[in-house]
Amino acid sequence: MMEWIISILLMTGSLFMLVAAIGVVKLPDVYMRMHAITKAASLGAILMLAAVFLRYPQWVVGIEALMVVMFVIFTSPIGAHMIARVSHRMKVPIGDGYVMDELQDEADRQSAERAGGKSGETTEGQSGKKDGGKGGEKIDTGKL
Amino acid sequence: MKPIGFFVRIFRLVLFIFYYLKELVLSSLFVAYDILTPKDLMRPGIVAVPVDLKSETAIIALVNLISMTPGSLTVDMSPDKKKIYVHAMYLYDKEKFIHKIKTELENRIRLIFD
Repeated sequence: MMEWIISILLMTGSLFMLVAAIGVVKLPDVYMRMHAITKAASLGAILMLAAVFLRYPQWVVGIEALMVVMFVIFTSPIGAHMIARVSHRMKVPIGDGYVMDELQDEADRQSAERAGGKSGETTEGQSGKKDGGKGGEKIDTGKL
Repeated sequence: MKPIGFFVRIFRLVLFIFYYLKELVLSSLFVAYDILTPKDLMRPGIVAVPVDLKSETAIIALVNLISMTPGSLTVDMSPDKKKIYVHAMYLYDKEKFIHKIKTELENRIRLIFD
């Protein structure tokens, strides 16, 4: 009986990981790939760790599995967030069919303001953004 | 704001963890379904969602939770911490999307962390 539960957990866990990997290949752009990686892959890891705990029901294993689960849960959204943020700043091309992109609108508005008005007011963030944009274009052409 | 008891907070935190796991399972199923079927359903977009949480812990918890709910992923945050930019996979109705984040997620976070 227990063997069955363990096998089912392992199978579903690895199935979710497989789905996440397929998603990374198949989905159209960076953000959607991040969707696949954060969600499906972390659920897969959790299921597999649950299977490990059921197979070796000891305190040590349980606590370790729990800690790994917590690290996965709390860090994978942050990692996805950082990758998405950096790729937006680097202007990685987005897929088709976007309804709206308010972050891009905001960035455009700011750069228009900067070009229109006050010269001489340079802060770190602005110069950093400009550099990021230039670097991003280079990387895009290289990647495509 | 009135200080709430320690145990109330812990109780809410435990409830919150269960809610988080539920969202994780739901969103994994969503994403898996979407990957495995030919995709005509997607209407991606990036939306600005206003937040009015004050403490940084609360904002981090909100950002994590948004990334774990089905079809949404935090991309960036405005420098004054007033807005977060959320990438949505199924953006059929912008107002409804923002409303869901504000009511379901932000209120839940506010009860615990803020």
